[in-house]
Amino acid sequence: MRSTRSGMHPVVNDRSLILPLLGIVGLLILVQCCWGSISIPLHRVMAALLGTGTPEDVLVVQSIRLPRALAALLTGGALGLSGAALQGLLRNPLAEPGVLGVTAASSFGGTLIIATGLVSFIPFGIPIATITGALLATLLLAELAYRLKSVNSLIIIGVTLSSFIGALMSLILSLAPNPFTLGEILNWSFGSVANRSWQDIALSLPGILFGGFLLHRARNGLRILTLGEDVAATSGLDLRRHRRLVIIGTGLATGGAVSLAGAIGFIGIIAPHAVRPWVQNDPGRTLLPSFLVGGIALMIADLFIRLLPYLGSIRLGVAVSIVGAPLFALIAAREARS
Amino acid sequence: MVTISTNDLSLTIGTKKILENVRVEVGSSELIALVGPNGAGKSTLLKAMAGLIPEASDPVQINGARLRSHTAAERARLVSYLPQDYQLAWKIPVESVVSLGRFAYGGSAYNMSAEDKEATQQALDTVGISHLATQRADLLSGGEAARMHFARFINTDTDILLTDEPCASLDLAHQHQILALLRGLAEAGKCVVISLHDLDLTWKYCPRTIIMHQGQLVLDGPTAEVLSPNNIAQYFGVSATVYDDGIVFNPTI
Repeated sequence: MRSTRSGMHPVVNDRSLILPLLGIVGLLILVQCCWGSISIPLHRVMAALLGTGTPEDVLVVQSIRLPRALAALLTGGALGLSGAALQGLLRNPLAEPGVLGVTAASSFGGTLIIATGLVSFIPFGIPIATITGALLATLLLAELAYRLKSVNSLIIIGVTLSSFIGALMSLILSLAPNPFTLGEILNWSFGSVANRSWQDIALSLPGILFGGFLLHRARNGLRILTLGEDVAATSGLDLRRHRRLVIIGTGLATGGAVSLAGAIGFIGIIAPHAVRPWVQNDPGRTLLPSFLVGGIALMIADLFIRLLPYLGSIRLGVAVSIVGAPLFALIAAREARS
Repeated sequence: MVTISTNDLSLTIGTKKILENVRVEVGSSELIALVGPNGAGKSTLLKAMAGLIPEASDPVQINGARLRSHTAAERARLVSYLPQDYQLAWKIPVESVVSLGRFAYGGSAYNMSAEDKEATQQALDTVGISHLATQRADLLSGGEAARMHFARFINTDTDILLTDEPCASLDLAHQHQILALLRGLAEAGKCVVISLHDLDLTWKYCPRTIIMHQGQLVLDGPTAEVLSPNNIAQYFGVSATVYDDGIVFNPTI
């Protein structure tokens, strides 16, 4: 009867998980480049990617579809990675940048810098503002987490933070100086990867890459934290340094994602949840796969709203929330039972 | 040769004195029991010795050097600690939990040296749970889980081992197994300090006993002298008869 107790999912080593995920990412990028209001066959897409296609193909593929696909990949990836890291640090499978108000704070930073017009004076203004917002929220949450001890009250505080920031956003909306600013702000609140340029990607990439690098370095600490802080500390983990690493890494990655696509929720909880069974629930091993699964999820969501009739005008963040919120409730209910 | 000592260790939280001028020195090849009624300060003393209480870490010294002069990683290769409340945030396999004992040496669940792998297998064998190695740790029984965490603890292979009530959730046979293992480790040269509630087990396994009472170290010496019927009555409030091979508590009516 022992075998029925083990309850283990199929055991795979990390390479045999990551390689297929990378394959899916590559495939989805090609699909993004082929499909659209005008379909381009695969051989012409390949030619356009290499720069040898017709000027029209090269323009559509290289300047419109490829950056959009990469923006979805990077945004979803950074959010999935941030979710996995926050869950590991707080040791709670429900922690996530969206639920905890980190994305809201981050997009508030972006909104503020646009609404005040400061964006035209500060180079890298938008990523700086979104990263600052994300960092402040993560810092606040982590500080509270170690005072409160109960992680569930932390989630309640995160939800409160989200709605508080929502109210501040509406306030800015009502005070918006002109319709153009209003449109920009709406873009931030609902999230989208449409019409992203290489410049947008270049602006957000440093935050996402450096944040990802810091979080990757925190992976072993997340693993030892499985056994609690006392065991982690006596096993040689510098708790304060590690906490700082995860907070700054999450702030940079989430802030980078928001600067690229605005506020998109739930990816950070769904990606690690999907990954966990494949890595034996090891919090250190969920990070890179969560990046890839988060990116894949957002690319698929973006494909759907681009390709299905009537969905074209729906914003990506809205579409993700419509699917993501019930999934979050499902995951929360399952966690509460176990 | 290794020593860990506290020099007049005191700790006050709010207005409550948790520890008061505790002075203790323990060394290699010793198995020391910390006994005393609830709230005597046993767990806090162990935590302080493990470096988990920053405000109480100054009086703690390892090999004559202040605890704080070691980095977290250096300390982890000298002292390991097993708390009484086991935590397990994620449903990882048993062998992953035990392999975390190698953390201070850079060993981790999926990137372990042959040496770390062998040590982990040996720790699993020593406590007799190798048949559970690939199972999910959250599905173990209380006793199996206690032995798994104990295996993680001895897998650190540090010279100083501090553990808080390692027998609390074990049945009688496994209590004896764990204490016999700890005695073996002490005989092999380790310095082992454990807190225990069971005076009879203390008598049977630990050559040296420390009685804590209201935050103070009141007695420290050979178990045969410390656990006298008089002392047991005075500090534990129970009447006991001490035989050569154990302690029997007298029924009180």
